[in-house]
Amino acid sequence: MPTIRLQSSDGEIFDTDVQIAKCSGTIKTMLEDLGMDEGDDEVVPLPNVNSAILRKVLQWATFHKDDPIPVEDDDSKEKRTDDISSWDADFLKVDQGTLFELILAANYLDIKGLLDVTCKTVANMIKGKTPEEIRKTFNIKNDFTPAEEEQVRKENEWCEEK
Amino acid sequence: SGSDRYLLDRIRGSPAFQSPRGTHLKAVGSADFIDGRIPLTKSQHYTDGLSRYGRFSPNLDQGYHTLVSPSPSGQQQASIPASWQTGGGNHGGSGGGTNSTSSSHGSPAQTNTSVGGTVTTGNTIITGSGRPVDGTTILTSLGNGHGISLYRAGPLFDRVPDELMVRIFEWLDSSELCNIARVCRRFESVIWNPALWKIIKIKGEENSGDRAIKIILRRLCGQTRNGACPGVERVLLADGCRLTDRGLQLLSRRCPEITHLQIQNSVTITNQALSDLVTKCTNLQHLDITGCAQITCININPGLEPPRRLLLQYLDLTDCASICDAGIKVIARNCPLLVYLYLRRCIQVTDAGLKFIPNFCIALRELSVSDCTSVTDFGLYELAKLGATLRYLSVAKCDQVSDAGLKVIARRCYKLRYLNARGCEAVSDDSINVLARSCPRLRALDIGKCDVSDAGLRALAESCPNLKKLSLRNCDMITDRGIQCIAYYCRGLQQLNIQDCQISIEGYRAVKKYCKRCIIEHTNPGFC
Repeated sequence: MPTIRLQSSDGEIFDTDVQIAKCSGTIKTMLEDLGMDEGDDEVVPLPNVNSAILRKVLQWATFHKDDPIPVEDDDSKEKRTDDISSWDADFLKVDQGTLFELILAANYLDIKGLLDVTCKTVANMIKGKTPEEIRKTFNIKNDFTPAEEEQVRKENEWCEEK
Repeated sequence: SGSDRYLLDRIRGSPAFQSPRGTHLKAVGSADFIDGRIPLTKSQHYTDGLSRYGRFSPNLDQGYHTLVSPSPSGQQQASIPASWQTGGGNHGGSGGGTNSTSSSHGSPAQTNTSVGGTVTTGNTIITGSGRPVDGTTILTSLGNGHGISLYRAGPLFDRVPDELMVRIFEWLDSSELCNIARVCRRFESVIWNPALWKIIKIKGEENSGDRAIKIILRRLCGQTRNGACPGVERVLLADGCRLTDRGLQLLSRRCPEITHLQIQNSVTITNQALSDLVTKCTNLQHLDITGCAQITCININPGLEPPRRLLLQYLDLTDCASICDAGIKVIARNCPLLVYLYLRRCIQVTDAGLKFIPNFCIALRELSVSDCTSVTDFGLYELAKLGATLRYLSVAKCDQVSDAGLKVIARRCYKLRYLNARGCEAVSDDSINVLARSCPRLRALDIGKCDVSDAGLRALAESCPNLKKLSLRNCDMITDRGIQCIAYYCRGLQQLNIQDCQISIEGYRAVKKYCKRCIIEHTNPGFC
């Protein structure tokens, strides 16, 4: 199995199967654009991903390497967030910092499957909560003035005015 | 670790850290920032070292040395130069985007510095009273299009650029979006990204469709000159949420590009409001007006030159009880592209109305006239003209339909995959034999309460090997013999209904034996 060497932001080198690395659109394009040949000892630098996150990303990519190629976004399909596989759910049982790092990494590396499932996980953490609970969950400061808050509340209320 | 972070931020903001103008603006990602391009002070090396080697929890650490976003308190914000703020917010965004953003920010930040003299002046840009102040306008205007929002949303979301926030919020429905608008300013500004409102979905009796539509459309596109929301593609009201003519007219005016509309049980909607809709929204393909009981017709407003047809492919008129044959004629003539048409419980529709459907809607694949009790075999003779295009037909509980009508359908619509003749008690083995021989592609068949015996089942079993769903509920002539036959030949069966049939454990076991994946619905407590 041909491998390439990926370098994380903190300098660690990961010898990775080309097939697995190529689930990243960014790496795939890089390899094609640079005309890197398999077997070259060249190192692909990934300045936006640290080693801990890159390790997680590669773990995910390894497990999903045989997944069918995702089809283009089909608007007619209802967007569901309750269809996260149990492996993915376990994989994403991490602290919020890591989860957000994974989102940023998946976006930078252009891995749609990972980006979708991480974004879904965050969406699930938002769903069904009151604004105050959401602020608590993500440590968000309420920066509205009381008057603004009341206005936003009114603006977004659909129930018929009594 | 909060105090450590505070310390780190303080150090970064300290004058010792200020690099020569321009240097720090070149940074591509924040990782580079720390890893070398910026000359680090001793203390900073120390703090970074700590963060790497475990002073912080390992989890926090994973992100931390690439993390430059400040913590939420105002004091700490004040100690971070503007360039940090943007750099941090942008970290990890798409590679190219990050680059261009950083450079585009070079000039405004520099301008600012030269005016104020020090980088510290730039601080006011992000902090102030929480609202962006004067300096910000410069920054924002240049930052637009790069997904940078100067509104804050806590340490985690700070690092996520707007376009990535949108990727998260995409998984929330309309009511959840309106709910999270109240969290903080940044959320409130991000959720009104038109990409999040391609589909507007409003559910629940407690919500007023009119009010919700008004609120959303005003916030979404109130600013544009003609007030149109071209981004809205689908509007779906469900679970008791209703619309009146006012709401529908607002939609027609504001959402010219809408393709899908579902306004179930909006009982007060009138023909005129619906005409306005189909006249203005020329892309409408999917219309579900189930239960809109006042509607008698769907027509384009008169006087339009050149006259045009509708592009509707999907039309659900279930429970539109006011529609009669004249209405069906106009609708069929106006909608030549229809593929799906549902007329369930349109009780005024008769054979005379059905006649127009094959005349105009030659692409029709699915049709339901279930519970249209006036429909007879003569109506089916007309519908049979749809021929091989028809794949799905329901005449459930049209109790005037008999063998004669079904035989003609079976012979001419030989590609049928789904047929529902439940409750057509005059249907017997005679037509089931023809159906079996003519329509070998049949996958789903409901002949509940029909006059069918084992002979009919044998014919089906031998000719329709693709059967997946079969309902024989209340067929009291059927015995174990017939069920065994089905089980033996149709091994792909997934669903079998034998409720209120005279089937013993023997028939039941045959299905269990041959159709491994079949779910059997029955009323015999002795089974299982």
